[in-house]
Amino acid sequence: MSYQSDIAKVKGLGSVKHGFGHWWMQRLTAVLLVPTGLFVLISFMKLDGLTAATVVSWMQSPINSILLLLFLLTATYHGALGLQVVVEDYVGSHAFQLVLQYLIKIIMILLMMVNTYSVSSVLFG
Amino acid sequence: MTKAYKITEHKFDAIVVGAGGAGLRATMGLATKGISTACITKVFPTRSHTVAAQGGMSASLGNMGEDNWRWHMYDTVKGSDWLGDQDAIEYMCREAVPSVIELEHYGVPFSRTEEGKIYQRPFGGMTTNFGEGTAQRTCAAADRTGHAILHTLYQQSLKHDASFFIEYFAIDLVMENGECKGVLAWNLADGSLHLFRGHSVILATGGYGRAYFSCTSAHTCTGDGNAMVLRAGLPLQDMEFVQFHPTGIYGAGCLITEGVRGEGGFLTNSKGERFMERYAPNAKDLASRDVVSRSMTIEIREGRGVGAEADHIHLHLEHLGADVINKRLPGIAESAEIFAGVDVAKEPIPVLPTVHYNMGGIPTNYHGEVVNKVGDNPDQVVPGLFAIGEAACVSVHGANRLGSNSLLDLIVFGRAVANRCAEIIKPGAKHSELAKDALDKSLADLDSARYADGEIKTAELRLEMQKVMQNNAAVFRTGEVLQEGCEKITATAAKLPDVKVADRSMVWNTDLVETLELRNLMSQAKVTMFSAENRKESRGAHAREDFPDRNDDQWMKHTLAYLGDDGKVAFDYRPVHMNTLTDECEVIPPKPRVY
Amino acid sequence: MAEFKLPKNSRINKGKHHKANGGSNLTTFKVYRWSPDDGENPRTDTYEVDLDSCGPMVLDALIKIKDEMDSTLTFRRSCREGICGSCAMNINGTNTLACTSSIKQFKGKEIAIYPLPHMEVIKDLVPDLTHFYAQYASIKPWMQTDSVPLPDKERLQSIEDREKLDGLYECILCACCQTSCPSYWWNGDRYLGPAVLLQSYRWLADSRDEYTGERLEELEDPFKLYRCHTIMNCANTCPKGLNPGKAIGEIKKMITQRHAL
Repeated sequence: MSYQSDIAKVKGLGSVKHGFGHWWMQRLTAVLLVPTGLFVLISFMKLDGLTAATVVSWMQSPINSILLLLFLLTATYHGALGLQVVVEDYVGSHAFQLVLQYLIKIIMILLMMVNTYSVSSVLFG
Repeated sequence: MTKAYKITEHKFDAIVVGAGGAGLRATMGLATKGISTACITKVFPTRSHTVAAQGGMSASLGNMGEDNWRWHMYDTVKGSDWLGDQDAIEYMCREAVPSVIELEHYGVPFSRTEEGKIYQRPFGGMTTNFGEGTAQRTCAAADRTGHAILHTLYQQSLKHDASFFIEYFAIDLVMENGECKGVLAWNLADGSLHLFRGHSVILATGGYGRAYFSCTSAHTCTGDGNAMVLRAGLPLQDMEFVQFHPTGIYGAGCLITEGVRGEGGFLTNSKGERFMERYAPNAKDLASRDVVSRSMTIEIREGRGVGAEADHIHLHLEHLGADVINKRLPGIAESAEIFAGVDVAKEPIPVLPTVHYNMGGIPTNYHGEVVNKVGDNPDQVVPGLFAIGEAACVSVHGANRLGSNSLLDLIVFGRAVANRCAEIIKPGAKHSELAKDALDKSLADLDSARYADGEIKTAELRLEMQKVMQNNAAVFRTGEVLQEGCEKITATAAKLPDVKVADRSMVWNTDLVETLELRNLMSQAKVTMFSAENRKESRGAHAREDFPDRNDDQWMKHTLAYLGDDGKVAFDYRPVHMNTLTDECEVIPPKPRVY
Repeated sequence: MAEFKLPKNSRINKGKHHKANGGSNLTTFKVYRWSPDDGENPRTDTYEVDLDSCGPMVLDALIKIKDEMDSTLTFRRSCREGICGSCAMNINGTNTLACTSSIKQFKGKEIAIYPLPHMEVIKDLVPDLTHFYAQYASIKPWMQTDSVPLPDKERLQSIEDREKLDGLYECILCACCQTSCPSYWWNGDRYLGPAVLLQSYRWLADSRDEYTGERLEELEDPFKLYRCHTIMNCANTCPKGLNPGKAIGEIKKMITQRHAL
């Protein structure tokens, strides 16, 4: 039971006056995923068998590695943005939500570091 | 009894009952003037029946050709068949222009002309130069003008922080020594009762179309304010004048705006003949509504109706073309499709004259103050009580209302009443103590209706009443049929104590709401039938075949009908105001009414 | 927040069966019933209605049930021509107006009627719309201007500018779209919802309004606006054929422009 007025409930904490950034980045990354994703997919299909050796030799070309890294980073970031929305939508408890959002961000950063390390180690290794 | 029901008291300066066009205009007007105002309404404001008004609101803006408020006044007086009060009509027609401009400033999405001004269309009975040409006077937002205006007024009320009590059903006026002290209402959401005290109580409760079997009115049009006034021992005026709209959809009864004919649509009989050319050689399909409805009834009666049973008429707009239909009449196309299964670009709409508007109601002056005849004074003001909109009989519509004058009536008098209250009310003035038993009668009535355990279902009795009204107080009337009607409606009304209510709850008990509404409808049905029997002449919407002519010597007067506690109807009369407010126009003397 | 299971006291029991008094053209209506008075769980009552003595719309059938079979059945209704928005309810899984929903379209099959989904129920088919109305009020749905119009003249608006309001101003606030939107189900406390955003855009699109910037500023919020995931249930269900999803898209477009993109 609350005697708070209806309008107070609706206004809540007010407008945070952002949200565009997230929405825009989600769309930008989505658009970027299409060409980079296709590039990686088609390249892999063209390889003479998808083995470690063929992939490593493919990655020796800087262009291939950079585009692969771009794809991986974009996918990770896009996925994190998407997961953030899923958590906002479906998780009720404020504390649990905070923990999940924190984890999503940390995992995203970790994944990005792993991506970058793996690709560069192949390229320069 | 008062103990059994806990009552919450609220003190305001003004109470508005009803949140249609008139009620909302009054509410926001009062709120902007800093008067503490409560608006009580049984439906959420935008669900009020104003929302269904289609064609438009008249005002002599002259956006589509020369116009003059004096011509508008002439048309309205003639349309009223000289039963309208000319001072009030002058006031309304003059105030029309600033009223509609004000609405535009509030944000009503009116259709526009090439110059960006408000679009205006021709409407029935609206002429230029005192009856010579056709006026384009009706300001329109496509064919959803009522919707556009009602939503805008609600938005303005939100802007001005008016206090709304939504889904509260008004039960009775609280009267003391002939003064109105407040309103008793029932909150449907939690079942609690509330006493609203106000220095002014403004009734904006609309018409009682649901007293008839077939009407364009919403289910909620039960004239609750009119009935509360009758119960308070005050009279209703000119109740015999019930407008039949020529074009209700055959079967469903839903409204097809006169704007269809304004945009060039026309009626035909089974021979494909444009019969209105015979009845109204000048105005044709744009003659006033009573004239068109009678002509259609005659056509059907003489065997020239269309359909398998030759019992309705065709309304054509195929020739207007898809462009005009989409731009100007999109809502009509939708309604005709849903309710008649007709594609208006290809086929005519089946229509029938359908009960649409009550010219009669609570007698008021042009400030919206309720008046009663006391001794020799026919204009004695009832302190604290006001009425506006269809509930009121100012009387600007007299014996027959012109199309698009009702949205105008709502706005002009909603505004007028707010101005009047601002003059009279001292904000924050103390409310007098009420007598301890002030609410006893109303609560006893409510309680007995709630526990009513008779033999007849509410819906069954309502249907019986509606059939009597439909059969015995129709477009054409005769003494014999009306006398029979009086007997029948008296017998029907006598069954009210024998109704059965199955729901005993106080929360959203619509069974009880419908029973209280039936009680309200029944008293109005009764005074309507008796008033019609009593008026022995034909004038406007009241067409007596046994008295086919207008009789100005004897009947150019307003009927006042009182309903006694014993259920007997008593009559008195008020003179028609044959004077103007200012010397900027002249009184329009009676003459034969031809279109 | 998402809830995937009804609370115990909201689970629906089987209710009473009301047989028709004769007639041959029978159709069965299953109607959700709940009363706040008796502390019982909701139930679905079954009514057999003879369509030969009934009007063509679902509302006609509900009224016939109330008039002739069970006067305790509770629902809102008013204009019966699809303009007031009172009788919005869920009919065979679709939010719509009972008064413009024909019985025939269901071809004699059983018709299930529930209140608008995911709203608190006051009684039977009457949902509590208070929060929805407060959300509507919160977007300041009125003309906001700094310039003062000439007192005796209308503001001018071109025919083209007026046309931009078509498809927006016709909204009847029935809440069909609002309560069909999963985003609104889960986050209705903070997400404004399709109906209210459509109304927001109605004022953004009005050439006469002077507060576009302020309105957009108030709307730019991860919850108020960006909870719309373009599921488009709103446009599918709108009984007036409007497209709130498109209006929301237009708002997002305007905010994008504001960010110089």
